[in-house]
Order: sequence, then structure tokens, then C-alpha cells
Amino acid sequence: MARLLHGTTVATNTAIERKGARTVGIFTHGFRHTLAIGTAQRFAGGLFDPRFAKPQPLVPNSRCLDVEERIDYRGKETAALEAAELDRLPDELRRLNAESVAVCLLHSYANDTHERAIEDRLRHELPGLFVCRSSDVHPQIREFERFTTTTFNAYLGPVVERYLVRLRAALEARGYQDELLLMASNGGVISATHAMRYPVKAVLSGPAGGVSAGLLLGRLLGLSELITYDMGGTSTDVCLVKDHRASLATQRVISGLPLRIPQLDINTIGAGGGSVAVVERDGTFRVGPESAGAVPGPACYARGGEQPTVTDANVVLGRLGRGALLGGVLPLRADLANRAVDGIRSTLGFANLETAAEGLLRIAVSNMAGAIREISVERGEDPRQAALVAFGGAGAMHGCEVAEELGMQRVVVPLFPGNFAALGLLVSDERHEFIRTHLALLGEADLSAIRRALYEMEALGRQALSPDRFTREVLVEHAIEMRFLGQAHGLQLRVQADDLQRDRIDAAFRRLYEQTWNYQPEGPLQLVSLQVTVVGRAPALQLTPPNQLARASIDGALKERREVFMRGRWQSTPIYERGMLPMGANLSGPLIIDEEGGTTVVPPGWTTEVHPTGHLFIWPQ
Amino acid sequence: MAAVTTKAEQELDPVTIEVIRNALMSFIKEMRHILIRTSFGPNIRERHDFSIALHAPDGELVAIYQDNPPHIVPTVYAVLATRQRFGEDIAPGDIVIVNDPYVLGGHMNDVAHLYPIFEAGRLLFWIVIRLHYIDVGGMAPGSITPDSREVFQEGLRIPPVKAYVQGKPNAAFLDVLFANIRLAEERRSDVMSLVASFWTGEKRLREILARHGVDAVVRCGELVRDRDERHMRDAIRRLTPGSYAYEVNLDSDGGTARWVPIRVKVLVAGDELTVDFSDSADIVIGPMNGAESTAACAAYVAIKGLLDPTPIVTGGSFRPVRVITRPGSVFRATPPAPSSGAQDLMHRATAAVLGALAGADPLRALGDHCSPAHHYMAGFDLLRGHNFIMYDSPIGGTGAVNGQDGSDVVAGFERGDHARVMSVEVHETEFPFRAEYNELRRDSGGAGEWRGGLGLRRGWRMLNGNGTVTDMAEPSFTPFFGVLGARGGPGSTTVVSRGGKRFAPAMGVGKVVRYPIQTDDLIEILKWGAGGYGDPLDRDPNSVLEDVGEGRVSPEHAADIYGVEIADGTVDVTASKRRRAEMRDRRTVLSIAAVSTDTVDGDTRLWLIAPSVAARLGVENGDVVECLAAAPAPLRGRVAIRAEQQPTVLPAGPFAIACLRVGSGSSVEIRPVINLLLRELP
Repeated sequence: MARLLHGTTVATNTAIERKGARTVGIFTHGFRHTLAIGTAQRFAGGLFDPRFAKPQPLVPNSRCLDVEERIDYRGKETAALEAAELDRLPDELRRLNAESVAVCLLHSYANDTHERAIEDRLRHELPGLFVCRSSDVHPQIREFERFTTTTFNAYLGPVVERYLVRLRAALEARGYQDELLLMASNGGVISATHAMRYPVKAVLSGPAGGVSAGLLLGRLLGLSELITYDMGGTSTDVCLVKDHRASLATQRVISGLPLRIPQLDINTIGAGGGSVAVVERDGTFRVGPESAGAVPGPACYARGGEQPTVTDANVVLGRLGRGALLGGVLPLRADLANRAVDGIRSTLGFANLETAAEGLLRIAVSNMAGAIREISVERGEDPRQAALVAFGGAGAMHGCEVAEELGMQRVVVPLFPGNFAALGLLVSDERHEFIRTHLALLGEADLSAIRRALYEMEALGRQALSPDRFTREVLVEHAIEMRFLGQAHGLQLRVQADDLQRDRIDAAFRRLYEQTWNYQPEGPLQLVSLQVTVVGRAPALQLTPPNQLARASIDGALKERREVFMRGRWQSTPIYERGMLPMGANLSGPLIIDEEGGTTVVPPGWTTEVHPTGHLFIWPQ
Repeated sequence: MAAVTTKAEQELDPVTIEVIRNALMSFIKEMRHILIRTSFGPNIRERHDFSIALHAPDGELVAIYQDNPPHIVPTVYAVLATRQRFGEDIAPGDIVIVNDPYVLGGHMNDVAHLYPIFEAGRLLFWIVIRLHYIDVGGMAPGSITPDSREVFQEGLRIPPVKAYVQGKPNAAFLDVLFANIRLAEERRSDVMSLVASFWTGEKRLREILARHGVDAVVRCGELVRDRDERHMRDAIRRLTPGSYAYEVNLDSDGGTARWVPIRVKVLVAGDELTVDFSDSADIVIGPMNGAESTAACAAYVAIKGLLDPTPIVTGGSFRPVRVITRPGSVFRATPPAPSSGAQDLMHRATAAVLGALAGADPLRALGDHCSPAHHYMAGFDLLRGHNFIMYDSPIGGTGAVNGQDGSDVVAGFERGDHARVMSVEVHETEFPFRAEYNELRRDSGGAGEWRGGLGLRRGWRMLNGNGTVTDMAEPSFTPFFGVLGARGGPGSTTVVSRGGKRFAPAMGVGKVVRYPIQTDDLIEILKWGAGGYGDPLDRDPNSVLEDVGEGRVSPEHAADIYGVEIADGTVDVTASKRRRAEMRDRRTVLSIAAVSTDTVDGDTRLWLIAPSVAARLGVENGDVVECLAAAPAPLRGRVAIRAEQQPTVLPAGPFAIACLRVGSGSSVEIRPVINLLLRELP
């Protein structure tokens, strides 16, 4: 075995199911209820619902301690952290049976000495305890978000640690010697050792692989702008890639609480093959987020599911072959799919089964397009310029319709769409991101201090890189987040630490602002934070298409013709076997391309070509 | 009756309707995003105190995202006023500004910006942004002030005016506007980002129109409103028909500490509701006045939450609801009556409607919940060398419902999801204050079988500056009400500490009016908890124990109010049983005697009781007591001790009888309203 990479949902599930460690929080005196008070936002819907219940923090009040100390917003100590305060902490933690601790003091992003003092003391006296501090996990201004993120880290710590220790032991027993690498939320990989200290970075470990695979595909095919569209059985994950970079989000709401770490801006919605169609009392027709899951699964699985799902609609419409085998074992029962879809037909008064099934799919497609809009148009990006990379078990089946809904001009179905996300793990760079709040007017900022801070963060990043013998090259990016004085939200401007010039930064930022928001305010500029990314490049990987038979031909790839319902009518549609299609084959829809782990639907009005690399390109005529 | 698909709806299939509706909501979401990312004042960028909506040409609401209904519902009236003023003289690229409180029924800070969308000469929609300006001029920094006696003191009143004419700024108007408000430079920048947001919004809306066709989008807007109307009618039909009444009092009109009653009668008949506020107080001298739109919005949001608790809302939901107000009442303010307290009036009117409708369906009753209050410090920052206005208006908890405690410190159901507790770190960076604490306020959740959500206490030390603090909370002193025997939490107030002494400047009028503050003063903000649900003596003792462990309830409060005695970290079951039985026995039950008129002093309800009853309750003349009867919500009044009053009887006039849902001879409980705030005051 050459290099072992792992994408895991252990952190996500621990957070969502609230099964984390018994965590204690240590706060500045007077602020131990910061988690419970929050910003008074609901974060999870609730408008007009008198029964809305605010999500509880990960650490209950009874496990929130406080210490006398104070640092002000400039990082100046205004009240010392006395030894007596430190002395009482170990006993209090023992009394509370703490498994982990989050140290959360005000303004620690500006001066971390008090947090460090507590951390050092606890590590020293309670060696088995998981300890983390907010100035390390998320050194940014805004106490509620920083503290919540830090408690997430503490809450996940012992669980992720136990999981990885077990996994590593099992691997060692099988002779694997190298460092285990984990997919991280930011789309890079991190060492298992690093993940044990910062488990909060692995919350998106599951879906991040697909984005990395999309980035690789973009590089190979020269597509600088694309949207990864990973549709599985229960959910769909989408992410925007621009200039060969995946877009990043600063906040994600998980388990009802805001989590702020550098993470891919992956939008996940409950839309998958198993998503169930529901007609509400008032006639509202929706699909998902409830899913039939694997059991009972869609009605056509004949495992007892009765509600109509996206997969059932595809069976009704002939897009999934009647009698086709799921995973080679489970036959799809068209009769059961028909019966399930017939339920919504009669409730909503559709003329026939086909229009009901098509309607169900249109709702699902509209939901998925909405998810893409949120990560593109709402971020000021136009999805029409991007290619839609469709993969996952069900992505290729709906890719063209999602693209149509958004006005996108190109869909790419990669090789092995069912396993595409796993490929992403192999090619992911190791990636460490650091952000520190640094508030200063550009006109008054101490540029040499900034330069020093950037280099310091870079050094931390280089240290965090695993001693992975496969890492070939290290890339470093420096950036400054800036805004007009008086605004709350900044834009990230890339800079060179060794070449910081006030007037050039000023001009470059104003240009960037104009490009982003289409107008230009006046006024002084303010630095918000310093950002450094250190990347250990992964080994290059060549993707080879599956062996093409010498006599591959379009005719030879044709498996059958069958009636498929598209665009409101049944149409005789050729069904091809993907592995048998020759390179360069150019075909017009309607057609369907089958392969193990995926079905590509090319509707009428769309054309597909088998690219020399083996990937399918599809575009509207 | 299950909703049926109507003929009209068949023109557009349900799928297309859903797709277009989602698209309309998502373009609003995108506009919100731009405004937050590019705005300047902390009130928008931190508190997100603005809302965006799509309205039909006639003003009816077509779509919002998760915006703030009290901002949006009244903007219908802004559209109507704009049409009245300009008629057909509206062109693409115009932006009309309105903040007239007699139209919009809120404080003038909530400025409505209207942007028409035309297609081939036909007006299709209005996009409206309602945005809270931190200041609109007037006698006080921040403009909202309890001591105003005329609208002119509350800032610049703007009838519908074109701020942009066909895409070009109306410099004459904007110059006047910015010359008359504080922190004008910040607002100038915000208007730029608002215009950018409109332009992007229009682009996105045009994409939707191009994609689905103009007629389909317009028709979809009509169909979803029709559907919401049918849905609401179905829900009303499921209520028990009848007339339901309730009365809620404002603690003060801003000028005096006299109660301002809001009286409402709700008539449920067939599939329609009539909400009649006619019996409410006359226009008051202070700023607690509103407009018809204040009453309408209050009724609409209460009814929406009770009957259709889903986030999707259009004007269709409100068609089956008729709102009646009386000329000359607080809901019909006329110039120059001040009205910067109209939002607070609106919130209490919402509580009145919730209290009345609790009678129609006790299982859906909820404890009275917390309002957003206007609380801010203004002055001069000696360190940074400029004037400041620091809004810090934390919200309290939400009311308990059947089977569930209320939540601590979170926006009420009828409020948009914007931040209402500001980051201490961000505020310290920008303003001359240091936070000393930010804590849940123990014992502030109204006691009940299900406990109301807690409020908070927040302390700001002034550093290097001077200025004033203003607190416009309402109720400013009296607790919220609980339902079905539950209690409310303590009232809200502001306390200033100076040199070891504490002052409660709200005492007297119940509001704080530019109370001077200086370097080293500590300003304590105490925010309400919400009302509970059900009898506190029925609360599971283990839940009380847990509340004590989590610091939400003190051991004393557990014993005194819940009758739960805790020893060594466990419930003393025997002692608690005994204590609860004793507490039940001590309750005072009287018999209603129907009388021809409600007894009032001015406009304040009086409960006439015999001296022996007063002694038993431990109350004196003027104390606040509440009467509990068949209706879930209690009716409050002030004590008037009368020697001639029979000790077993409680006289009640027609309105009281309607509120309590009782008749002559019915047994009712009377008890003092416990206000723990008194414990926290100097």
C-alpha cells in the first residue's frame, strides 16, 4: 500500500447526533453563559413557529466555569490571571468528570497568554484530558462564534481521537507504517495526528473528497470554473470552483450551532435518490428532505417502502431500466414504483403517472438548482459560466436538467462517477489554513509587524505538514482580509509578505471591491485579518480511461432501445454501455448511458461527446 | 376540508408554482446577502436590522425570505401611500422613500425604500427594503425617545418621496435627508449599497421573468396568495366559533407611569376573524402611539403563528382577517402625535391578540414573550474623538407552550432571524465601553408546569467618554403574563451604578430618558424572561432540580414558587409534597359578581377587594394583581381596597367577564403579580 487516505463522517455524526465528549468550558468571569445566550438568532428556521426550541449549546451551564482575568480589545492585560485562579481548576475539572476542556477567554485572538497559561497548567496536571483553547482553534474576533467553534473541537476531540487511534492500530497490525491522512473540511488532507488535535477540521471530511476530485478534473480538462454536483442516496453536496479553487465558507450551521473554520463552501441538501415526495395538507408538493434511506428504501427496491421517491420516478419514466439490477443484486420493481407514484398522481390530480413522476423530478431538480444558486449567485458568481461536474450514484441522471434550470452550458460526467469522490482523496493536497484577527487601518498598519505575523503563521503551517514522504512541493499563500472602515465583512486580498506596499494594497483592494460588488464606496480601508495557507502538494496522478476494445464502436455500445419519458412524452431512446463507447463518439439526445455505479441521462436537445480522456462532455445544442 | 386544486391553479402546474416561488424567495435572499456584506452601520451589518420583500402592484405581500414580519407586513401601507401620492407617475429606476409613522405604524427609523419593476410599461412588482436607520434626526441621538411629545422631535418625517428618479439620485432630497440626521456619512454609504442591492435584485428578478415568462411569474404570485388564503380559512374554520377578548397594558405612555390599555375582541365566525381594537386607549401624549398598520401587523403575525406556524407567508394569509381600530385611539395617531414607541405598542398588541385567542384553543396558548426593546447609549467617545450611538438591545426569552419550556434569549416566533445580542468583543472595539458581564438572568423564566425562557443581564462599564442611556422597553416594569396558572418573569429595566451607588432611572415613568452617564459608570441592562404555561405546582420536581443545577432557577425560587424543596442535590419528595399542598390551600378563590361597567381609574383596571382579602394576599392599594379563570390568560388590574366589599366576591364588568370567560357566580383565583425585578433594584 502506498498512501492511505481516509474520508470519514465520524466527526459530523458525533456533532449531529450530539454524542461527543463530556466537555467543560472555561470562560472569562462574567461570560460563562456566552454559549447559552449566543446572538439570539435561531439559526435553524423557526419563523412563525411558537414551538421553536433554540438548539442547546454543546456544554451545559453547569459545566461552564469562569476565571477572573481580562484582556482588552487591543490585547492589553487589564486584569491579571492570578495563580489562585489556576490552582483551583484541576480539582473543579475532576469534580465535573471532564473528558475534554475548551478554554474560551475574551479577546484571546489579540493576546493568548491567559488561555495558554490555563492550557499549560491543565496539560501538566491532567495529562489524559483533551484540552484546546479558542486562540488556537479559531483566533478571530466575535466571542460566541469563536467559543462555539472551540467547544465543537473539544466535544469532538476524544471521540475522533479514539476512532483514529483504533484505526491506526488496525492499520499498523496490517503492516502500514506511514502516517494516516484524513480528508479535511477545507478540501485538503491533514495528518491523523493533526486531526486528533483539531477534529473540528474534519467535519466535512465526508463530502470534501468529491470537491477535490472536481478540482483535479478541472485541471486535467482545463476547466477553471465548475460546480461539483454529488448526488447520492439521501443527499446532494454542491460546491463552486473558480479559477481552479474551491470556494470557502467562513460559517456552517451544524446541529443548530454556527461552526467557523476555514471550510469548503459545500452546500448539502436533503435531495437524493431516496428522497421522498410529500403532499402537504394545503397542497404544497415537496420532495425531501426526508429520505427513505437504504431500508426501506425507494418503493421499487421492494423492501417495504411505499412512499414515492426520486428513484421511483426515474423507474416510472424508464430512465432506470425496468428490471435493471441495483448493484447487480437487487432488481428494481417497476410495478411498485408505479403504485407509489400513483398516490401523488391522484392526490394532486395529475393527468397521468408520467406527468406526476416528471413533476416529482422537477421539484427535486429545482431544489438542487436552488442549492447551487446559494453557493453561486448568492455569492455573486454566475453559474452559467461554470461546468457542472455530475457524479455520485444519481448525479449523472439529473445533471442536464439541473444545468438547464440554471442556464449552465456544459455538464461533465467523469469516469467512474460512482467512485469519483474517493478519487479526490488520492489527489488532495495537504492543506493548512491560518486566520488571525488583526484590526488596523491600512494607513496606520504596522506593515513590518504584519510581515512578521504572516511568516510566523507560515512557519506554523510548515510544522503542521506531515512528514509524508510523498509530499513533493510546498506552496504558501499570504492574504489580508480587508474592508472599508465601518463594514463588518471583508474581502480577501492576496499579497506577498516580502512585498507589502501601502498604496498598492489600497489600489488592489479597491479594484477587487469594485469587481465583486459593482460599485465603489469611499473611505479609508481597514485590515481585518491575516491569512496564510500552506499546501503540501500531493503526488500527481494520471487517470487512464478503461481499456477501450479495439473494435469499440457506437453500434457495438448500443445495448437496447426502449421507451423513455422525457419532455412530456415517451420517446424511443438508445441505451449505451459506457465502457464500450469509442473515444470521440458524438451522440445526440435523447439517450442513456449505463455503467456500473451510474446512469447518464442525455435529454433531447443535448449532445454528448466522449472526450479523449474518457470523461463525458454534454452540452445543449 | 382538505384543500383542493382549484381551476385557476391548474393553469400552472404545482411544480411550476413551487419552482417560481423558490426562485422568488432565493432572489430576496441574495439581496439580503449583498446588503449585509456591503453595508456600513453596525445596525445593519451586525444586527441585520432590515428586511426585504416582494409586493404586488396593489401592495399585497408576494414573498419574503426569512425577513422580519413587523418590518414587512406594514409596508403594504407604504405601497398604497406611494400610489396615492404618485399615481401613474412611477418609472423604472425610481426609488421611493417613506418613513411616515402615520402610514407605516412604526418608528421613523424604519425607512421603507420602494423599487418598482416594470415590463413593457406594466408595473409587475415592488421590491421593498425596510431598513432601520440608526438615527433620523430629532431631539435625541437615535431618534427613538420616550420623552417626545410631537413627531417633529422624533426626526425627519418622510412622506413618499423619490430618492432616485429613473436611476439618478434626487440630490435635492438626499442632501436634505443627510443634512438632518446623525452619522449621515454612514447612511450615505448604506444608501449606495442599498441601490446596488436593488440593481442586482432587479437583474435576478428579470432572469426569473425571462425563464418562466412574465405572465407565469405574476400568476404564480397570485396563486400562492390564493392558496395561503385557503389555508388560513381552513385553519380558522377549525377554531371554536365565538368571541374572545383580552386586555394588555403598556406600563407607561412615555410621559407618565399610567397604564395604557390595549383591549381587543376577536370574533371567530365561519372562516373569518375580526380583530377589534376599538376599546383600546385614546392617543397618548408620549410616543406610544401607532397607526392602523400597527394594529393590523400585530393581529396578522399573532394569527399566523398560532394558526399556520410555517415560515412561508404572503398577503393571502391575511385576507380572512379584518382589523378594526377606532379614530382617536392609539392605533389612529394623527399629526403631530409622537410615535417612536409604535413598535413597542405593536408588540404588546400582538400579545393581546395571543391572549384573546388562547381562549379559543388553550392547547395552543403560549406564555407571553419578549419584545425587542430600544435600548441604546449615545454620547462622545473621548478616546476615539467622535460621537457615537451604540445600540445594545438584547432580547429576552420565548414563552412556554404545552409540553415544552420556552427558550432562553432568542427571537420570538414573529421576528426575523437577526442577531439581537451583539458581540461584546466587536462593541468594545468600536465604542467606549467594556462589558463586565453577559449572563442569563436567574429566575427570570416565568414559572409554570412548563417554564418560560430566561432573559439576560448585561453590564457595560463606560470608559473614557460621556453621554446618555435611553431605554424604551415595554413593558418596562410589569412582568409578562403566563397562561393556565403560570407566572411571568420579572420586568425589564436599566440600572446605573456610580461610585458604589446604584440608581434605577426608570422608576416613576418606567422608561429611561437620556439618563446622563460618564466615565466609570456601570450600566446594567436587565432583560425580561417570558411567561410560563400551566401551574408551577404541577412542574415535574426533577425538572425544577435540573433548572437549579443549570443555574436557571435559584433554590429559594424553587421552594417559594414551585414548592420544590431541594436538599443535598436531590428533591426532598415528602417536604415538597407537603409544601405544594400548603401552597394550593393558601390560594384565594372568589366568586364573580357581574356588574354593569368595568371599574377603572382613568383607564386603569381596578379589582375591588375587601380589606380581609387584601390582608390575605398581602397587597395594598395600587398593587398589581391578576385574576385567573376559565380563560388561559390572566386578567390584571390594580388593587382597590373597599371596606364595603364582600370578602368572597369579586365584581367584574362586561369586558372583564368576556376576557375571563366566566359568568356571575363563577369561581376565580386572585393573586398578586410577583415581580422579582424589585429584588434586583436598589
